[in-house]
Amino acid sequence: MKVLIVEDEQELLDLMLRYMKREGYVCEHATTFREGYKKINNHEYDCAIVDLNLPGGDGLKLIEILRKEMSNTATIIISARNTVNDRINGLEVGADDYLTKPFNLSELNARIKAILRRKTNQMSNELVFGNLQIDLDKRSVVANQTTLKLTKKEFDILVYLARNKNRVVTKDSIAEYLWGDYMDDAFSYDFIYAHVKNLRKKLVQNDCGDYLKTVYGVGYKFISN
Amino acid sequence: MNRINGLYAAITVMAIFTGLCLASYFFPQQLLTFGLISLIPLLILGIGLRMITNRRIQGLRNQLTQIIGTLEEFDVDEPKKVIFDKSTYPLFNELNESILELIERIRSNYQANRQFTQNASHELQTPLAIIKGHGEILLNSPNLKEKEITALGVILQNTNRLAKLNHALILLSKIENNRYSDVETVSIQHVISKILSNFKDLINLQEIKVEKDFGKEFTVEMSETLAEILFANLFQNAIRYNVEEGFIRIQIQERTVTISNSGEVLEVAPASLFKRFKRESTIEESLGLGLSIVQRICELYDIKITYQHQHGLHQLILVFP
Repeated sequence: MKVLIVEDEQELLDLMLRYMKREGYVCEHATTFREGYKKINNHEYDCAIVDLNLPGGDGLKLIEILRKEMSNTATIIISARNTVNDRINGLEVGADDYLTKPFNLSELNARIKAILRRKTNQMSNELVFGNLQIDLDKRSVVANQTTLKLTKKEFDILVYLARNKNRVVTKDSIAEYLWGDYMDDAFSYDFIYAHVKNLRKKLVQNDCGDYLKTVYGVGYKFISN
Repeated sequence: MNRINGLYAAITVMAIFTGLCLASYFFPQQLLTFGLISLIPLLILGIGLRMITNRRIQGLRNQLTQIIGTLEEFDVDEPKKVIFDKSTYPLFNELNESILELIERIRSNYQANRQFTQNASHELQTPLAIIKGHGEILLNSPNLKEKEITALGVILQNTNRLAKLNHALILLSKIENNRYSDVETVSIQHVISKILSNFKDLINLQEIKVEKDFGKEFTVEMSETLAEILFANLFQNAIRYNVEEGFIRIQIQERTVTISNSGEVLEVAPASLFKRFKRESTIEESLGLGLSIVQRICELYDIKITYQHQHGLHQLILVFP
């Protein structure tokens, strides 16, 4: 998988590069509009992550160009602009997703995976870990041959954690992933706690309890070797 | 004797004339009630003088109306230049000049304010994103001790709080700067239903009962986004300050929406609730900006909002215009 990141803020760019490389992506980057423009003209990418405020031009233009020329590149806008209109504009131009700064790297990661899965029409739409299978199309989970009855939120949490396997995922990032900006923190923590508790109970009943680990006070981790 | 009489009469006439002039200027109504018909010639003179003054006043009034008209058309949002016609009265020209100066100052303040909003959003979000990212990566480095993980968790949690606070402040300043001018016809019942379904999980989790009495559907001309933000904030409070197995009651009558909920008595004075950063201290982590945002939205659309605590119930009453 080849990923292009267009972001002028060097620190943020480095962070994303580090994170994406660890996920096994081949990463390239650009820090200005021109550089980004050249890259998308000369190479093909599976995914492009584009900031809107770029020196030398608007990132939206890059998305537009990508849409016109190579409809197969998945595009994600990352921006500090956070009005409904900005989002609508971005998606209208053809971006596949829109993330507002400051986002969680784990969320960016999960969203890239979700988009790539949609785009690339992978043979299997399953995440498989030993005796645990998560079918993303049917939204069903099979643990040791037993289909689990999960609520919508339990399923979403499990997928989010599984997409970020072997990483600590913070409660805040789960809250944002599930509810966006609507929710205040303190509140959502109890809620996530209750859901993970139920989710774990269902996994334990089918001998799949070892996948979810609580990182006390911080969040959760999906363990898989 | 005759001469003296004549002089006396002349003085009287002059006095009456002056009186008339003054009276006609200041008390046109009284003048008529005087009914000094015997002094018709003087009256005519007085009326003549009055007409001249009237015409002058009419001229002044017209020019003033023009200035007011120009000012009423003024929109700080539009770059259109404000132009006053040159007046025949130097005083008016002076007035126009100071108004133009004032407008310039308002414009530049407004621009600066707006610029600040944009800058604050951009300039603060990026460093926050960097802190968050480093925290996340650090959190996943091998061989971390539990203490270190906990500390990192606290850093990340508070960075997140800062980011949310920043969002809320930017939202407030956007409302204050009238950045939500996209007015639509919004059905209040529809918005409330939408928000309630967003909060369904939370309501179920706390086993809160929701009672709805929606009455006849009514609509309001306002930004749909702001309508949603308004009710999201109100319901979030109604859930947060509720008790387990409590209830929320929504009553709509004509154009009045009453949201009542069970909950403990507030420690802060109701009037101060709408002030920024005031919050019920028993619950941590609340941003303390929610009700300020509610209040701003209400001001923007002339919605009357009141809070009362009655029979152990928290009640928020919104009266839409």
